[in-house]
Amino acid sequence: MAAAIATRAKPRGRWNFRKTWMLHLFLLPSVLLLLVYSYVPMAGIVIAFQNYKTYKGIRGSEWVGFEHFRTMFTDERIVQIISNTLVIAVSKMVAGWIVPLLFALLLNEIRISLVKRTVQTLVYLPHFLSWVVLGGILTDMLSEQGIVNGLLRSLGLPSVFFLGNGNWFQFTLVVSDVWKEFGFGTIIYLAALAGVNQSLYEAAEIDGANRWRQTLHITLPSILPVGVIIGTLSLGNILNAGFDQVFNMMNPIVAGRGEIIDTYVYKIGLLQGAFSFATAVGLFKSVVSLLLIGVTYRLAYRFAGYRIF
Amino acid sequence: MRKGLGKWMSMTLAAAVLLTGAGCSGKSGNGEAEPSGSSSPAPTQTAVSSPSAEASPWAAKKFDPPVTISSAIAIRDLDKLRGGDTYEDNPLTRWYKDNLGIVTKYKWLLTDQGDALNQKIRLALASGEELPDVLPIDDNVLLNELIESGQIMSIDEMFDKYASPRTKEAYEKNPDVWTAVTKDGKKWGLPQISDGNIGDSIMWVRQDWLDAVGLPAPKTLAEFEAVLAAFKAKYPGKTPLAVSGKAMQPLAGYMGDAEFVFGATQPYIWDESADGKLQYGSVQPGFKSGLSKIKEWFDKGYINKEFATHDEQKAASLFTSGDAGIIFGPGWMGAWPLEDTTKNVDGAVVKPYELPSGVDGEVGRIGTKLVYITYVFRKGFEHMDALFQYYDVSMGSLLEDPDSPFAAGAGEGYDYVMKDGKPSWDVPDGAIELRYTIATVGNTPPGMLTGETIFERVAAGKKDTIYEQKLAFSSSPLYLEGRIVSFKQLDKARRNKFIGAPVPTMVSKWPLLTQMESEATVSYIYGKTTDADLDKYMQDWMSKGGQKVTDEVNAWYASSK
Repeated sequence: MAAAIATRAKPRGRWNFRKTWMLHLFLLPSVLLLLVYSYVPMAGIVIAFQNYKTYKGIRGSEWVGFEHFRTMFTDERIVQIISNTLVIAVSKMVAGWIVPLLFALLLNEIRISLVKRTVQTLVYLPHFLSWVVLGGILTDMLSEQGIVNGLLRSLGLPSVFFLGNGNWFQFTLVVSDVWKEFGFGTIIYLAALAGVNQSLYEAAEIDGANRWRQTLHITLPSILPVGVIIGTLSLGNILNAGFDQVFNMMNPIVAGRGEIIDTYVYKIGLLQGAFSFATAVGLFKSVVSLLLIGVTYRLAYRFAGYRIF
Repeated sequence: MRKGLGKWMSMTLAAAVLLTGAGCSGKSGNGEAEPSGSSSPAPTQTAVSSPSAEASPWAAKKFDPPVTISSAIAIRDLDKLRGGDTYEDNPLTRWYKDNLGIVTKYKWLLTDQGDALNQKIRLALASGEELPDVLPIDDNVLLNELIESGQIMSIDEMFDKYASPRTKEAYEKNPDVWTAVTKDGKKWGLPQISDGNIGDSIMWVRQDWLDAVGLPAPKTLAEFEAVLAAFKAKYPGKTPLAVSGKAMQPLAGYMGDAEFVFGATQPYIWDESADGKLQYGSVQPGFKSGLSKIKEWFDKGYINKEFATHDEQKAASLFTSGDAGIIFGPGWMGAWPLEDTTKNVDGAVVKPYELPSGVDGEVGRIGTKLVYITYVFRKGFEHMDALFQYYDVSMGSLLEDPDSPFAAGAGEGYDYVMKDGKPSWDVPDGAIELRYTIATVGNTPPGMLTGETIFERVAAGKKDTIYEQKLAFSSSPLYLEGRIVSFKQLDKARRNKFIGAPVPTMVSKWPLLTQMESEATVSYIYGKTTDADLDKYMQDWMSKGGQKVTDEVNAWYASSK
């Protein structure tokens, strides 16, 4: 982030290696690591077009072309699985973008530092809980006798079988994910808020703007760049609906609406030992993600006028 | 989750519960349980049943010069070492080195995360790295890859030549364990043998509830239903039967299952039909009648309305909190978690019983797998004689051999300490399991010990042998009772007979078929689908790949014989 802002602030200058060689040297280890651990292994995607056997290796395994992709698209569930993944992931992205922003704005209005810090820490805590643990806690909280249904009943509403109905299940996935992660996003927005020039508010006050006006015309535009960065970075998750969460909360009644690409790959690739097939599905997922990211990024650039690369 | 993981959980949990599980056993001591290895290279090897006082009883079997065998191990967090020991130099490995001249070497030392060891093996296969001499394999897919890779050797001749009499006897009594490693008529590995019942389900009942309604423990399905009805009438706010339905095999979790309802035709497994072919249990007519029983109970409020979201521990907690009066599960549940019941509920009395009969009038349950781990050996490994010698010694403590060097435990200072010349299992800083073996049979193989089981003897108050003393120290009465009951219906266990690597159609279709199966099952119980839908599921299962899978499974079955 800081680096991004730095490059932006600096005019796109001449190539001046003599002055910057040291910076390049600093960069070298990370570039090397990236090459070794992220780019070189990409060659492994060729096994998506093979009938890969470990003991035969990539060179010895038989080539089968697009057979695995054909198998994937003839699986009658694939459309449902992709649509589940998209619905869950996009909902999480949108809610996970808006909620921390709103929360940070509200929290920023609190003037008592102790309260502010306490709340900030408390909402950040769930981020550290594992879904294995949370799965059990949520099953209890959302059960017929659980606290949530108790609340609904006391409000005169009918109780809901959250984990036993497809729509409610997806809703629960999104809400619980946002609840778990919004504290993290909030911290980033708070940091951005702290950096807003205070003299702008003073000037606005003199002009007679109330808190709402100040928020609308000063706070929001000031932190918009950070918002766009966070939004753009989260685009990478457009087909990541959250394996840990879904795997731990899934049950047979909602299997049809809960199955996502990652759990599907797990079941076929790892449980059945079909590495080539799993790679094919993974490759498909990556290609689709890349396309979606490209498109959304373009849109973000066009409408928000801000780019990070 | 990997198929059969539930039962595997059973094993690890049981091991955790009873740190030094002595396994099942009976009156020991008859000649066959003596260490009588036949694999020492010394030409003068004879029975060593009466060790002479002056020389070490193992001297005749010692390899000189010492032999080094390399293996691989994935270290867990709880594998702590004490007093400057290392993974290759600790009481266990030292004993083998000093007495048998067998040196343990770990060519690969990994952290037990996910599938670390399996990944390492696959990497080695792909890169051509030389394998360690011995490898423990817990995955049939990988086992099959290894066999096909040509990097491991068949052991038929060496087994005949070097295996000790009691090793041979254990395998003769359990010939089924060879199925998964047999290919082209040869045996490509040495399977461990489980005790065959550790994960087998029994019926746990609140005896105080039974007494309150004045009924005996049910022996048939009708009696069982009468008990459920009586419980519900007596305690209307409770749900008498605790079932876990969250697993991929909803009615066969490792605790809180409902397997007994299906009688002799168990779901989720491939069992032999009348014509000798394998058939899948969940698409047989009996499955439907079993399910309709469970649905009936669900409708009557005998089963929790949210059982499909309950995993095994949640189901067990329904029982331990006093909400349910009956739960099915393994015999070790007496130690954990069921012992909590009496703490949570005043006046609660928990008692294990044998399973009642199911819808077909037969008693049945899904049997514990016979093999969890198979040892494979690198092609070119030259010390199978030493390996089988090692194997024989490590088997001793599982057969309650009084001469076993590991009778009290695997290592002094780890799982036992010596006090006044006698072993004590009250280890000051807590007991630690030493797992640094090369190969061990793992459990007491079924059929190797006859007579009363060690659980019965200890429950009756016997503390004669060191094995009985150890079990008496580490177990609770409820655990012993549970294990005793789990031995009662051994012949009722239906075992999955398909234990090979997934067949081709399974690879692409099995996730779909499994999902259809669990969805059809649970939706039916919840009343979201009808009998007609259940029939349709069975037809769909067949037409969408199930028939093809069945054919391939049967082809495998024919070839494995």
